[in-house]
Amino acid sequence: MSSRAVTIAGYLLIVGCGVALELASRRPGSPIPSFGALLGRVMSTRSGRVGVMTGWLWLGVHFLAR
Amino acid sequence: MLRDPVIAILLLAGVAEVLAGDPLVDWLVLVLTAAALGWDRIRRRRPPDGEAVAVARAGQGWVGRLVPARLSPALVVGGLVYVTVAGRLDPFSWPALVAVAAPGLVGVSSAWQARSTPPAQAAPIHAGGAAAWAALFVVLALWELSALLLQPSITMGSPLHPTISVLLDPALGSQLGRSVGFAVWLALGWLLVRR
Repeated sequence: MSSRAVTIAGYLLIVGCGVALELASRRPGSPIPSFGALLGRVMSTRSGRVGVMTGWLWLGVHFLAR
Repeated sequence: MLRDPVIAILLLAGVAEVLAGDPLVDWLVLVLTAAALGWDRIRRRRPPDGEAVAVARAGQGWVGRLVPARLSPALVVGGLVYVTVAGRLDPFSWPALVAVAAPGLVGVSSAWQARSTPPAQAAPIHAGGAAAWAALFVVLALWELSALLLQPSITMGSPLHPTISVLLDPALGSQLGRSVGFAVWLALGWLLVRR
């Protein structure tokens, strides 16, 4: 297995874990919040809201404006 | 000021951008926002918990005066024109930067202006469950960092150890790909601003 394949497999594994966490959050009584609920909690403060939107702005600058 | 995790994360990300040799704008966005939040925190002299905001009227989230509350046909047409024009702009150009900065600054400004309400209205989250998500993002950051450090140099991408940027470069290399990228980015911003 090449270094490239290992690196990409790592990214896919992380995405897979994210999907697994999201699915686990949907079980009744699960202590794991959904990603949406977590985002909602983070964005309930000004710094969290501005931080998330700055992250979004950064994504645009980093991937689209360069 | 650094007791606010958001400010600390923004500063850390900004320093990482500097060390990675990324363009000035990339890290300036993060550092300036951290500085503004720090200034605001000092000015208010209130703990971050006191800043919880209303998830006001159902379906409207914290959308302020800067962003329309509803998705109208005119807004959809405007968005399509925007992604079509923006996708045709040359990468690494000032027009492309302006195309990102205009909606981006509107989104950040809307977030800044949202109305505040008591913290009791914020939905509670199980700490252990939140830690699982946090751990996942830390692992992603470390995996990206390891790919970055395994490049021939910090500013030269490697096909053997691709970062997310290197993996996305082919997809964002064409006008169509860039238009799709702008559309996804704009839709994400719209969803966030509606929360």
